[in-house]
Amino acid sequence: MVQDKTLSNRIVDLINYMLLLIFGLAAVLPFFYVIAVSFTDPAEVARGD
Amino acid sequence: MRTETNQPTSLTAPRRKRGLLRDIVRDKYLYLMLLPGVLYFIVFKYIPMFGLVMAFQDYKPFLGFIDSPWVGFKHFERFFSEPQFWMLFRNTALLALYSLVFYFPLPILLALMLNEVRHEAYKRTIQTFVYVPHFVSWVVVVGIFYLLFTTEGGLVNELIYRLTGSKISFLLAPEWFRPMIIFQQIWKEVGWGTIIFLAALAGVDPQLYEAARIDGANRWRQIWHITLPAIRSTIVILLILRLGNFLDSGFEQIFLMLTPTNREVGEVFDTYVYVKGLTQLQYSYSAAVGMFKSVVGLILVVGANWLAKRFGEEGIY
Repeated sequence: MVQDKTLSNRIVDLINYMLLLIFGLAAVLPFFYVIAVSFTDPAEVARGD
Repeated sequence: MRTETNQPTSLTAPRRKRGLLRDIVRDKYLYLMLLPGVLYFIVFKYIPMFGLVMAFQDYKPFLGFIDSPWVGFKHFERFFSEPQFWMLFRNTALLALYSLVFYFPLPILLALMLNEVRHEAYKRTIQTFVYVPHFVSWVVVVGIFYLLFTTEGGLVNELIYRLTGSKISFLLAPEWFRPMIIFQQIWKEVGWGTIIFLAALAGVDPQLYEAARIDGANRWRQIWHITLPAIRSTIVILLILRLGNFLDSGFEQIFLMLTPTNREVGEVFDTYVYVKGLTQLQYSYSAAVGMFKSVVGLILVVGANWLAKRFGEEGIY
């Protein structure tokens, strides 16, 4: 939908985009974490690196 | 559902009296396409319903339905007088309530947020990202949560430990059971739940937004007066359908998250049916428990549908 390019609209857009990015990353990052942990030495994971 | 839409003639010409058979012959390909769906419901939904008679019998597998003795409401009476009944009822109802309050509105919110995005590529990427968890089975979801939240080297607890110096046993503490269940549901299904709302939003006429803008509506006004009314009937229908499974907690997820320490808050009707029916072989009793769940669901659906119609919405039937 078409929006005015006012400052407040741009700020709302920016917040919206950031929140969506967080949601999107929250959905996929656990998978990458699992993959990363599977290929790492268990001792290193236990140390918290 | 609406067969009228398949009969454009009946809209213009005055409705002639015609038999069902003539309808079927004329729309034979439509009925042919309907057939697999009807067969599915008969074979997998209606025929198994006859198995419910075992809730009123003392069912013995070697006697069968015909020869097993009839006992009336014995199993229901036993279920309602069971000391565990209120615990099960409270756990199931609370989980359903939390899911309704915290999970149900989120797909709507996410769909509204996605709808505001104007860069198609960005929107599609985020959509793809949030759909992914839906395609993973509960076993894997619980496994990932275990890896992240366990007190022994879990990522989240390591962070909490470094910040506060103590750990939270998300997976064992009874007070964390319900939040974790709801959080998992949200993580897994929110993205998938947006699809139906985004489909409804795709059909909104852009002219409505242009007209609203000319009338001086800012974007919140546009969301409130155009976008939300456009998905209102979808929300109502999904809500009614959700109430139908109100007492279904999702056996797999609960069963995987149960530990000896959170049984007090985690045991629900679904797990109870499993324990009584499949591990203790009390077929009739667990059938009665399952039937109780379905009857409650039916009452809720009919009630919610009636209410929706009272408020001028389109119900599900």
